[in-house]
Amino acid sequence: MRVIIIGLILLVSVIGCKDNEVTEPAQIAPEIVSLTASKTEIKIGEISELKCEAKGENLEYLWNVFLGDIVPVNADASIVNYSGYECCAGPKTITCKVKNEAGEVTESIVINVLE
Amino acid sequence: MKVYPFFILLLILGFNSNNTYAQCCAAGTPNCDNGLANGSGKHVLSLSLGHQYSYSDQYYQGTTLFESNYIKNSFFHFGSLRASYGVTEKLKLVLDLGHFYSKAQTLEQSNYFREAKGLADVGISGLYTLYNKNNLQLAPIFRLTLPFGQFDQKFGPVILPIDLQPSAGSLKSSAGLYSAYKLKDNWSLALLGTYEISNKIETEHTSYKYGGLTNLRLIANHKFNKSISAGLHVWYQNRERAEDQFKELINATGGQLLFVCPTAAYNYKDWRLSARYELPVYKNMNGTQLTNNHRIAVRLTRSINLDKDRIIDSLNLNVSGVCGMCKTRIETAALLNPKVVTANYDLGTKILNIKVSTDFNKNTLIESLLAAGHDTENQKATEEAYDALHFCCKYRE
Repeated sequence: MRVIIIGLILLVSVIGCKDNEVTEPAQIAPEIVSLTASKTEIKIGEISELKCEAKGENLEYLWNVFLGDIVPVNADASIVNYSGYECCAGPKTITCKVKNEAGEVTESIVINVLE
Repeated sequence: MKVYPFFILLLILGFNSNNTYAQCCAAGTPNCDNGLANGSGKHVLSLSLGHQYSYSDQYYQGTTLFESNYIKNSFFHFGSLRASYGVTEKLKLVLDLGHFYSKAQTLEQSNYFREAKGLADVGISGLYTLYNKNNLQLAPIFRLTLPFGQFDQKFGPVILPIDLQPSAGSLKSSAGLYSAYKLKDNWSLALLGTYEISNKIETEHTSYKYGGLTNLRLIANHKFNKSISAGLHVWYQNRERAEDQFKELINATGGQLLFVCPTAAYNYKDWRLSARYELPVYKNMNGTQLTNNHRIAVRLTRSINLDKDRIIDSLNLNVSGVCGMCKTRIETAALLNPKVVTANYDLGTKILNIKVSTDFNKNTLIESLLAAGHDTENQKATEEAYDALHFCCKYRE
């Protein structure tokens, strides 16, 4: 019985110590180095790969377009695919917002969807 | 009955349209039924819970099915709460709240699944009966859809497209006319026509304006008995093209649709369970658009007569009865009348004392008592009703 109790105390101590790692908040606001597209003109249903290169810590990406579809490609979503169906013909402005605890920055790029 | 050929034709259309499809889910609260028109009287409060499921996986170009490998499928599960109240005999107000448990799409590209959840918009509707004579009812209706739901919702690192948002994002107003006609043999016909306009959406992430929307519904309904009714709605919808941020019309938006919707309802006391299947039978879309296969809606409604507690009169009625079983039967028959608040039968005096609310109809009560097998002051129950009584309840000499 004593062995079980000691074992449980040790187990709780080990588990309890695990969550002590705290991520330090970023001190410097992010900066977008470049926002590029593999194609700036695409046909309906075709894909253009967009890459947002940014400097900073703990970066979070948020993408938006009025019409069309954005699909994240990598884990942090710094790379996405854009495509548009028939509703989205014409020039479409895609924005990439990058933010962390210290601030945020937005950049945009225009992709022309051809009918 | 003249209505039968029409009804049968609609049924045939409804069940032979497996190769036709209709419009996909639009943004915001789905507009599915004509709940506004479902009856309730003065001071009657109806509360209902509903659920809708819609599934879409076909593209349509004009009037023809179109092969596409863009969006694989789209669906939503939508729960709703509706409260309607008869303010007066003529004016009825309806409040609609809703929540999308899941509103989702899967793209062909990487099988990418995206989903929105959250509160939908708030609908406030009103129906004012201008004319109600000779089995004909005419009532103008209005509806405001307030964009209180969740909009510009994101999924992971991407703001979701407008057709996946739980809220429409803009104030919508509609007005129209409802007319209903009661036919013979428990048949009824109704026609509902509305036109809806939307304000422009202007948010940080979206700039968009929905096109005007015309709805015309022809509703045929048959009451088989006290509990069961069924019907068929034919619903025509014309949506105009939407505008983008430059006020330019978006080619692949809007179109004309025709739905056939079989409905069924089961009533038990103050409860009503209804179901509706929505099937598109014709469609003419502008450009190429994702369209839906079907939508199913179920609704459970409880009606509460708030007048029931407002006692305005006390009446005594001579009713024949001889035993405890008679007393129970007489009081139950009286209380089944929604305008009777309390009922007490005195076996010694043979008097039924009732307390009633507004619009009480004595003849209706007498009919119920006669149908239960008990003679009243001036009228006798039929031999058939009397014979059905238990032997200890036989009060006639």
